Formats: sequence, C-alpha cells, structure tokens
Amino acid sequence: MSGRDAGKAPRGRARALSTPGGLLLAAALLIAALPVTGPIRDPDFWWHLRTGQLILDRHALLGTDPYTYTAMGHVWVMHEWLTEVLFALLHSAGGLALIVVVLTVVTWLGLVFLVQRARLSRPNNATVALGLLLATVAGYPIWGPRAQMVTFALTSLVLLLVERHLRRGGRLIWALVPLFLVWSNLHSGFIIGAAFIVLILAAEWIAGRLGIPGAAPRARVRELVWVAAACLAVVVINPNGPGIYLYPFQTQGSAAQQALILEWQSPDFHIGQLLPFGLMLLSLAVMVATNRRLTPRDAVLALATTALSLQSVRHVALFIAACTPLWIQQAEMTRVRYATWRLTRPRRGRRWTAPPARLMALTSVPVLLALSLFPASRLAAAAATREDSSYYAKFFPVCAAQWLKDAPGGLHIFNQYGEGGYLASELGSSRGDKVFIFGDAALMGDPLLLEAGAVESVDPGWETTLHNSGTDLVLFDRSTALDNALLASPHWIRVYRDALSDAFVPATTTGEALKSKLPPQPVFPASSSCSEHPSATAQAG
Amino acid sequence: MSPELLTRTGATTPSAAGERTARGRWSAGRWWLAAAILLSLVVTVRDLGDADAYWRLALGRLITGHGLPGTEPFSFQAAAHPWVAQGWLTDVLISRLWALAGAGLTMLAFGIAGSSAVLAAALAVPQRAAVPALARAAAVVAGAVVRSQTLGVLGLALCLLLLSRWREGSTRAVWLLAPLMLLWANLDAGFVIGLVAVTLTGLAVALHRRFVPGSEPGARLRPLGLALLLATAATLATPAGIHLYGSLGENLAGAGLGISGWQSPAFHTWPMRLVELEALTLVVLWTAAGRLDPVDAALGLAALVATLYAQGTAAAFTIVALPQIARYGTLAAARYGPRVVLPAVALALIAAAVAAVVAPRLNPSHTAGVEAATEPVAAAGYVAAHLAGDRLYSAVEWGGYLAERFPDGRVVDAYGPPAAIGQAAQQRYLDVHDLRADWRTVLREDGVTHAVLPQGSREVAALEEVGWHSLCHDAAAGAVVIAAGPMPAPDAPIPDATAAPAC
Repeated sequence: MSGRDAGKAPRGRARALSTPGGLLLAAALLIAALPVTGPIRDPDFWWHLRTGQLILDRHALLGTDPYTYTAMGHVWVMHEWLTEVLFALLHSAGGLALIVVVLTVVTWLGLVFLVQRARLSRPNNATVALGLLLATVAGYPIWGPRAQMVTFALTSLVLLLVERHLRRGGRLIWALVPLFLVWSNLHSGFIIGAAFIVLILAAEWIAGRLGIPGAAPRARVRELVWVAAACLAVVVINPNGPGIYLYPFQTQGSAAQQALILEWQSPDFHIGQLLPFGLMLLSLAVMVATNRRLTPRDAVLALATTALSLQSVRHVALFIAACTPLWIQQAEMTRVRYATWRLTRPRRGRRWTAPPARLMALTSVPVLLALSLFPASRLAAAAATREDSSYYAKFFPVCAAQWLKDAPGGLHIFNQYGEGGYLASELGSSRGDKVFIFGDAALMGDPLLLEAGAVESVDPGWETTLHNSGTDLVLFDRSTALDNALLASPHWIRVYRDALSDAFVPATTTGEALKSKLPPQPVFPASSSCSEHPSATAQAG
Repeated sequence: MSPELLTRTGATTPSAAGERTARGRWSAGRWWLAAAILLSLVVTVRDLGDADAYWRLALGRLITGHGLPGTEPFSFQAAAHPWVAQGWLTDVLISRLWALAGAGLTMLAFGIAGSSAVLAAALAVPQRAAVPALARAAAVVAGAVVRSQTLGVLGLALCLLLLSRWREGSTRAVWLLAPLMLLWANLDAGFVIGLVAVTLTGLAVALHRRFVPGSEPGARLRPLGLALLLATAATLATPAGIHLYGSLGENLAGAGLGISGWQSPAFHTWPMRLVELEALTLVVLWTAAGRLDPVDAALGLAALVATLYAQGTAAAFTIVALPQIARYGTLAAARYGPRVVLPAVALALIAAAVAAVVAPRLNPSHTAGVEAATEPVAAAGYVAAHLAGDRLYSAVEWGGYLAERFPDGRVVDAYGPPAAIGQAAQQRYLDVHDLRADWRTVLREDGVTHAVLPQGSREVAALEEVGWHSLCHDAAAGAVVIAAGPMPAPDAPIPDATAAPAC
C-alpha cells in the first residue's frame, strides 16, 4: 500500500496486499506479535494479581502493605489499582491464559499505534516494515505480559493522537482527556505521556517563535494546550488524588531503586539482546545527521527518550514508542536519497519489476495465514502455561512454596527481591506467611531496599539485619553469594533444597524448634523441574 | 612537531579578507586555547586514586633495577604466567618521576600529558573553530586519570591531528605516524585505537571519493596506506614483539571478568552523564551544522560504539568528539546563533585560579593524605611488621598498592588487567570475591590465611562467619587485616571487625 492509499476505504487496504511493500508490512505486523507474547516473566505480576484479588474481596484499596513483616506500616500509594483489579477479573474469568492474551494484544496494539503514527508521513510500506521489525527486536528485553506494557501502548496512542492533530487538526485529540483519566488509574506511567505532550508544546512554541521549519499551525498548538490542561486536571481523579503526581518522581529519585533494581540500571551492551537497541540508536543518529530534516517535536522526543533509555533499560520501551516513527521517517529519506543517487548512475543488469497485482494478492493470503500461525502457536503455548508448571518453577520458587504449604503458618521469610511477589501471592493470604520484601520498591522504601541489598551481598551486619527483623527462615536462590555464605556458616542449618532455591533456619534453639516442625526435604522425581540438576549440585558443593 | 604541520596548508584558499578575518579569529582563539588548556589542568592533575598506579610504580622500579621480568612478578597465583610488557615505558617513566620528586611530579607530568591531548585535539579542528570548543574542553577531560591511558589519549589526539593535516594536503604528516606508533606501543596498549582510527579515516575518505567524485582532493590514499603499514610494523618494535597483540587479545577476552573499564557505562554517574551529554550534543551539532564530514561520522560513531561497550574508552570518545564539537558548533552557531566574543583578559584570572586549585594537590603532605585515605597504608604497615612473607588475599583495587609495598616473595593476589596475572588467576580471585561455591576451597588451596580488605566488604562478613578474626583496623582507608581461625560454635557472636586495635 502506498502512503497515499493509507486513509482509503477497506477496499484500498485489501488492495495493499497486492504490492510487495504491503505484503511485507502485513507480515511484519504478524511477526511483531511473536516476541511480544510469552509466559509471565515479570516477577511483579504475581503480587499485582494477588493485590487485585484482595481489592475485589475487600471492596476497597489496601491502605498499607499486607505482604511483608518489614514494611507493614508503610502507606501504600496504589497507582496501579485498576490494572490489578483488571488482572483479578481476567484471572477469575479465564485464568492466567486470559491475562497473557490481553496483555499480548495490548503490547501489539502499541506497535500498531506507532506504525500508524509513522504512516502519517507517508513512507514506503517496506520502510515501515523494516522499522517495525527493528523496533520489535530492539524492545525484546522489555516485551512480555506485564503492567508496564499498558504505559507503552498508551504512550504510543498519545503520540499518535498528538501527531495526527498537529498535522491534520480535528476533534479526536479530545479523546486524550478520558484516556488520561483511565491511565492515571492504570499506571503511574501517565506522567510520561503528560511530559511528552508538554515537551512537544515547548518545542512547538520555540519553533513558532524562531520560525524553525516544521512547526505546526498555531491554532492546533493552542488547542493542544487546552487538551493538555484538561488531561493534567483529570488525572487527579483517582484514589490517591493529586498525590499521584509525586509518585513517579519518588521512583525516579530513589537512589536505592536505581542502584539495586536491574531494569532501572543503564543498558549493558555486552548482552546480545540489547545490541539491536544500540543499532537502532546509532542508525537513527547517523540518519538524522545526514538527512538533517526533522521537526522540533521529533527532536525533543528523540533527545528525551534517548537520555531516558540510556539511564534505565526499562525506558527502552519509551524510546521505541517515541522514536520508531522518526527512525522510519529518516530511513525513508535515506531510501529516497539513495534512489535519487542511483538514477544518476549508469544502470547495469535487469531492473526488478513487481509481480502482477493479482498474483501478489493470491500469494499474500496463504503467506500471511502461515505467518500468523507462529505468533498464534506461541501465544497458545504461553496462555496454556499454569502457575505451578515446570516453566514457572525455573524462574519462581514454585517448588519451595509447595513445600512450605505443609509448614506451620505465619512464617517470616527472608527472600530474594524478585521472588517476594510470588511467595506473597502463594503463601501470604492462605497461611499468613510474610516476606521480607517484594517488588513495590516505592512502598518498601529506600532504607529497606538497601537493607535487603546488603543482606543479599553479604555485607557486614547482614546477620544482624536478619536477626533484628525477626526472620524465621531464609529462602534464597542457589549459588548466590548469600547462599554460599549460609552454606559455609555454622550459624545456619539448611532445611530444604530444590533446583532453584535453598532454605535455611538459624542454628539456635528457636531455629532447631522450627526445623522440627518443618516438613522433611521432599524427594523429587528425577523428571521433576524441582529436582536438583547434577551441575547445580556440584556448584552448590 | 614541525610548525608547518600546525599551520593550514589546506586545499581551500580563502580570500585575503577572509584570511585576515581568520587570522583575527585564530588570534582570539589562541587566547582561549591557552586559557582552556590551563583550565583543563584542574581536572587532568588528579590525585593518585587509580588502582593501577602503584603496581605500575613497582614494575617500573623492577624494570629499572633488574630489566624486564619474564613472568608475572608479584602475585602468588600467577608464578608461571608469562609477563608481556604492555606499556613498560610508562612504568619506567612513573618510577623515574617518582624517584625525582614523588607523587606530585608524577601527577603533574601526567596532568600535562592529559592537557596536551586536549591541545592536540583542539589543533585538529580543521577550520577556524577553536573558540566554542575550548570552554567545553575543560569539562570533557574529566574522564582523564593519572595512568598510562592518559598517554594513550594523547597518542590518539596526536594521531587525529596528523590525519587532519593529511586530509588538508600535508602528505608529510602521515610519515610521522610510524614514530608515533613506535613510541605509543611502548608506552600504552591503547595504540590499537590509533591504528583503527587511521584505517577508518582511510576507508571513509575512499568511500567519500567513490560516492562524491572530486571530494577530498588533498588527501592521498597511497601514502596513507604505506604509512599505516609502517606504523603497524613499528608497533612490533617493543620488547614483547608480536606477543603484544596476543596480550591485548587476552585483555579483550577478559572483558567479562567484572573489570569496570570494560563494562557498559552506568549513566547514573556524573562523569558518564557528561559523556552522554557530549554524545547528544555531537549528534545535535552534526544535524544543526548543515553538513557532516564522513570521516567525522565514522570516527565519532566508532568511538561512541566503543564507549557504549566499554566505559574505559570514554576518554578516547572525548578526544574524538572534542574537535568535532568545535567544528560543528561553530558552523551551527554561524547558522543559528550570535558569535560569542569574550575578552582575553580572562586568561590571567583563569591562570591564577588554576594555580590556586592545582598547586595544593601537588603538596607532598596532601599526596600522602590521599594515599592514606585511598590505599591501605597503615594495614600494609602492620603486615610488614607482623606478617612479612605471608600470602595476602586482598581487594583487587588494593592489589597494585600491596604489590608496590611488597614487591618480593609473591605475596599479593590479583591486581591490574587480566593480561597481568592471566584469566585463570582472575577467575580464582573472583571465586572468593563473589563468594562462589568453591570460595573457601580456593583460599585453602592457595594457602591464604591473612587478608587485607575493605571493612564493609562481603569477604570480611563471610570470612568472619567461618572463624576469621580481625587483627587490626586501618580507619583512614577503611581497611581491616584479618586472619584465619577455628570454626566458631553455632551460638558464638559475630565479631565486629572495626573493633580491632588500630593498625
């Protein structure tokens, strides 16, 4: 489909499949669904789900933290309460499968929105397809069923609506107001959307004042100002009121979160999965520098999201949402320049000509159907993965949680930061067990995060922290520094082991008493995902 | 450097009026150049906080006294590991400077080398564009530290200067590449970056000519190719010969061993934020200037990729970006902004301010204070008095200092880059440092019963857990000397390492 056909009736869209570029774009959209789906890997998902269930049970938000024995009195700003309730409703309607399907669709829609925004500048479909594929691969470390994808999709949608308004005008821009109302109840990432609009307005104002080419008509900018004001006003309609504005800044300003939580750290380009992001970043820089044509609003968005994504790897999703259309636009300019240059050169060999339109259309349908089988089968496999499956046992303490279900209730468990959500979800409500820490870092607070980090790193005083916090049992990943220190220490007794975790109690009278009440070490069948892998046993010594 | 090489012999011939203007601006630029170089001393003359400085000092003394060692000389782990003399001349230079006037002179000399790199980078600006660069010059040298890499950065800056002159038509400039590389390969392992820069420049110029016929009229590729071959051959004229490249490969292969210089930059830190700002500024100026030189693009991108992969190359990126920021900043300013003219009188004020800041740093009492605060001076004194000849486990950051204090008897553990003691030895160090499964076995096998460690380290906590006890506490450096002991009873309290007597 050529750019000129973009806005035409369905007949025109269907006809697009008769061109190689159209077929490529349709195929790219299908292929893009492949990496954005999969089983749940986000460790926070489990406590989000449990929290949603608690809200539905109590018909009220949770004022304080119900999961830990260390942050019980902390006031909980539930900025994702609506997402959590939706998770719970979806879970009750269709289990994990339905949540995986819905979040996959949400993420994929985010990609569709950025494709739509790119197509506003009428690029070649093949260029759009290339940009989409690069963006999809670049975001691979971020994709997956997780609440953050709501912010990715809505950011893409906001940028689409704003760009459309600045180019074409119209009343659709007012749809942002209800959208922000819902967003501020779904996820605190709404502040990113609001910040992007403010940045765009600032760029347009400066461009207008300086007469820089590419500035939008003033009337449209003025209307966007009113829309932005309305958006900023409606976001306070949430259970936290105006306090919701402060929450994202607390997270961004937390030194402990930035230092200890992996996805808040800068991207590590030694990891192969992040190289496509590096490629996208550098190729965009080269194309912008060589084409030297971009609108002021694109420039500020690119600079802001580059800085964000270099600061924290989780912001790569924002870079993709904001910069993919710019990348496509710049790639299209480069393609046109190259084509123009080619025209000045003597032509050698035969020129490629597209197959007849009817043949292309007839070929497209089976090709796209075949391609759609890949994401569909991956989605089906992801949706069919159960909470207690061997897949989840590789990443979460599934086996240990099953073992603890026969232990005396009310245990205080020191846990790995990323596993607190799963343990709280599995053990918290049914048995009254409490964990040391879980994934709502802002609720936990910097002092507790630093304490947990110090114990995890075996910094001096780690045992005092465990003792003073009233920890009954340490459940931690094997072959970590803490696990190896506990194994070597005469002050601790190992009471459980599976493929992922070891559990320890103190070698004190209280610890010995607890050990006698704990279920014995289970004997896992060799085929079980809980059984020790021979190499893991050797490592643990 | 020949004066001719520092003047323009370019293919473009400005008009007489233009020349007068250019001379006037360059004249103003000279004042700013001098001011910026002086100002840059504030950041290039730095305290000896670098982990490598002390083992390089010890090695320089060893080379001066006994010649180049055949095997690694300090660590008990690496007795059979062959020693490849990377940057041996720097080690000798450090030891000579130290012998002459202590740490202060060493800091000053390396600071001047760092500032000279900035000067060379500023001179590499191909047009009369020095002024906007210079204010930035002082800030971006923040990445320079007192170590051989400072000389590497100087080498890169000189290399870029020669390449700039070559592109302007001075073929003679490229013949200086061979002696430069000869010196550089003996001073610092970073000479490979210079070879890469020459190759990239040649390729970019060739491609530019291919796509834009008539471009780059002054640059002659054949002499550059020959000069590159000569320069590569010159790098073999080191005591290590061809093995130098194998040693560099060993360092590269050890990129995953947790050495901070090899890691991707953490943009939460201020020095890296400066680099980020510099990179973003460079791309913005490339765009705003209205034209982009392909060589600049190739070098800038290569340096940026290297920095994103290994933050230790950030100083090289700075040196590549500096003249480009000057050049494109001037072009962009000419298009969009007013021309900035500031009085040269400021030079005197800057000189006074720099002297006030830098001079106290060179004071022996200050350098001794810094040494005591950053290195385990008192702890090493205790070891010398009570544990002479015993093997010591220590943090790798202190391994170099301990090697300097105890150069005989191979009593220290890991120090320096992977090529110094070998990857196997580095892994054994990391087994203990990261408390891997066999951490106690490694200590036992190495016969280590004493350690000098930061009081807040995980090793101290874990070793105390299995019965080690603190012998003394070095409060100034935050270090403890601990010794092995019997396994404590399960109910025994955990001792407080910092409660031990002072070292």
